[in-house]
Amino acid sequence: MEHETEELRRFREQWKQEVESRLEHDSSTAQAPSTTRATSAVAVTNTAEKGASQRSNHAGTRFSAALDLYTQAVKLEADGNLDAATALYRKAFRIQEDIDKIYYRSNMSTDLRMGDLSRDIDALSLAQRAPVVKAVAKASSRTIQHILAAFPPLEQLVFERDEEIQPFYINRLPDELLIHVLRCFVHAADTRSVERFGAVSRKARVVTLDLSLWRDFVDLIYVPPQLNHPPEILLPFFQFDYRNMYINQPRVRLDGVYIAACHYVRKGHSENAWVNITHLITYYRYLRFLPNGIVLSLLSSDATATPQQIIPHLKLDSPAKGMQVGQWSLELPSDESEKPGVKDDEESEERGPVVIVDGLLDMGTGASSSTTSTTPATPKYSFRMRLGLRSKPTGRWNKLDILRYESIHLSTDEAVPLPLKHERPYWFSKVRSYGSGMG
Amino acid sequence: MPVLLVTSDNEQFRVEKVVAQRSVLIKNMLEDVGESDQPIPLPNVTAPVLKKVLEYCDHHQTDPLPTGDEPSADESRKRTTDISEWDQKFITVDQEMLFEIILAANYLDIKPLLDVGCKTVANMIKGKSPEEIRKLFNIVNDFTPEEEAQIKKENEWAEDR
Repeated sequence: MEHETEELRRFREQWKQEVESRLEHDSSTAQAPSTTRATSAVAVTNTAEKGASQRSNHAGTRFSAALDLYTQAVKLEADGNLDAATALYRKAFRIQEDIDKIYYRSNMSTDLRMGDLSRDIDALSLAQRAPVVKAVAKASSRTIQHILAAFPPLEQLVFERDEEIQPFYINRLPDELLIHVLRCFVHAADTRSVERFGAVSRKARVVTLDLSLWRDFVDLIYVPPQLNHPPEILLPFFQFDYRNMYINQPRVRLDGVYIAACHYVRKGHSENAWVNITHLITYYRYLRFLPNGIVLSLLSSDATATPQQIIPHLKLDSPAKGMQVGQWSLELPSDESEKPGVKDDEESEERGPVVIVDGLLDMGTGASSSTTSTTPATPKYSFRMRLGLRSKPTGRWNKLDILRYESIHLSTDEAVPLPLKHERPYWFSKVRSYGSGMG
Repeated sequence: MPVLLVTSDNEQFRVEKVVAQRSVLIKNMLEDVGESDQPIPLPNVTAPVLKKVLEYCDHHQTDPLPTGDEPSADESRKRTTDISEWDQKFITVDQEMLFEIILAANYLDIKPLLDVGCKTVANMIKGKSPEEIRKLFNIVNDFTPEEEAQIKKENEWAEDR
């Protein structure tokens, strides 16, 4: 009995401390960073809007055409003419890819005039958040909120049976067990399976928005050096929506490799004056980022070596010949704007997240360097890259633009830019055997 | 000492205590009741499902028991994807039985079995298109065409090429 009360008291003490420390943490973190982020976000929006208004002139006609098509499609759908509606939706999306948001924004402003107070407040807070969303998000979760608004509440949502003669059991699983199933996709960062399941039906979409599920994805990926503070600090910028954060917060992809395929034509020499020889030179650059901040870089000029042959050797314990090893870090746009050193002409390219790859040194061929005692000549140079991290056209953070590439003389620390004449951007390829890349 | 379990359809199962205690629910009940010949009613489980569940408990009776809700245990559970060969064979059942096993494992609080069941469902979903998933579970597509178009676009970010 005595033992038990002692235990109880200790537990209570511990619990109190935990609550107190959490309160402290909340109040200390919530204020400071949010102000700095907010100002930078506004700055980004302003420039974004400037760009948009410049473009809007010649895009204006296209734009209203898309809006017309979309409005027509909504009408057709209401009339029950589904095939025609689908065709028009497709057309509208092809002309203007965010036409659904624009349509609802224009509808929202008419709703606003109706003067429903609660709606006014909702719309106001949406409008205030809008700049941040526009700055960071292309696929914003506002779309999903509009879609959800038309659904019945979750309690009323069920999976509907399709074929009467086929068995139908999935409704037996309560939501928390469905989420338990979806959790199995977290360890491999398999968001694709979750999102595909979400495209099955209304209920599936609502269940797959579960916050705890997306918090697991966020907690898995957003750790240093990907993000150097607790992810919760950024949540206010994503309407406290972990899924929104996972989609839109920049991250270097660790679950595959970035590959750049470069080509150029070189004039060859010929004995015969009547024959001109040109060589098409192809080479590949590979970058693989590891969760501990190490990056592996490889330049392969052997056109016969396919990525399938290279990828298994992009690792530290059995390195490919000529592989370089360095460190990587991720610079977010807000850090960038505070940097005084960035020149004006570079600014347009430098906007957005930047991956820095530094200290790239030759690893030598793995086997020989570890066994032979003749130490290879100490390297004179290391290499550094600045890469713009982009998302296009589908997928996320799947492109790296080479912004700058330089060699660093190790004894003098002198940086010499290397020409980027033939360099092409890196494109991301998922490698299944890497899993989430976090293991 | 064997334990007597009674299913919702009134069938009785006499099992060894070590086997029955794979279920945290039963383990706690036995601890609360103490030494007793009282049968334990399981109103949420039918006989065919309990038979299957006990088969699992019997095979895994010497496994270390999960240590409650420690975060480290939780973490390791999330990280292991693969299902052991025996479990895989065990869980090769029709969809109805699979869901019933998951429900029973949840009710009886047998975490490893719950995980095996959920992973199996996840593996069925993995790599399938939304239409294939609908077919798999016989679910009707209740999106309007407008919603479907929007959802497709909203989910596009996750489609890596």
